[in-house]
Amino acid sequence: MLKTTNHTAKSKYILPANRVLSTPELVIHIFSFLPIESLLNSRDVCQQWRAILNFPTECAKYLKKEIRKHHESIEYIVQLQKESFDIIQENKQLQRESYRLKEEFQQRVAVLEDEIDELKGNLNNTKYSKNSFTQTIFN
Amino acid sequence: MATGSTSTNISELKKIKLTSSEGTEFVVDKDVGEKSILLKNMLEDVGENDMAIPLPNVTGPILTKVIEYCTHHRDDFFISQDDDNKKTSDDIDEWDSEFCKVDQGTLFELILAANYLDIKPLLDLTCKTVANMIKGKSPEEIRKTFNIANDFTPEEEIQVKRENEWCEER
Repeated sequence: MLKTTNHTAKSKYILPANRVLSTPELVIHIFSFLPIESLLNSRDVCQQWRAILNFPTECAKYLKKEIRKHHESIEYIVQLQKESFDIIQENKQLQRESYRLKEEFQQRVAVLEDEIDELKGNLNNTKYSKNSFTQTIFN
Repeated sequence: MATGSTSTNISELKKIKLTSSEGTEFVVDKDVGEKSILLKNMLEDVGENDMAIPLPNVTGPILTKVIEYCTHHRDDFFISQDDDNKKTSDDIDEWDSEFCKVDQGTLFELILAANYLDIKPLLDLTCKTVANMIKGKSPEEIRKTFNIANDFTPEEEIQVKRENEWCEER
């Protein structure tokens, strides 16, 4: 995983950095001091680091736990979104219902007003016929 | 430091000899040398002996640094912090952080020496220093810092990106 330097080609000398960074126990020890953001970035550095961080070591477990927590919070947000969507739908339904009731009410009011008008007309007619009736009697 | 002086005085009489990879001989106080669990166990096994202990994996300059560290911390009791608490690299004191201001090669050689000699506090310190070099860096920046080759295939790279999408979106 690590670049070998060309100028040491004659001997099999490996740079101390390469020796440390390709020794899993030492890399794991270094990782044990890192917060989650750095562990996530370290996982994408190279194959070996990825393997180390996917292997059930303490820091890998910690990383997995944090990821799970994050996923759970995402799921929770999605759940909340779904719920709020349901509420909005319900709200719309209620609004539609209230419109319908309002219209029905207005229609009924119109019908009743018509009836009232009709009754008023009848009443006037009766009054008129009553008047003309008394007039004819007095005359 | 009046309280710690008695234990130092007794062991001050005893010296041990170490030989670095080049064959240079180092004479150190026994209590300083015993900060290394490897040496401590060796001395217990061998008993009283004037023979120099060969350390073929440690060069002279690195051994000098290790001795400097062990001498500074000779009266410290190392408390292991392997509990459930998440370990952090933010608790390095001033002397230690000055001590770690060395080039990268030396730092990694110190890690190897601390690991080989089994000096837990020095291993922790040097690994924390490396952890601080990783902190806050992107994968590409980490590769650059430590000269690591990106050995992911393009397909794997895509998979990595997909897996990480959730941490980029808000």
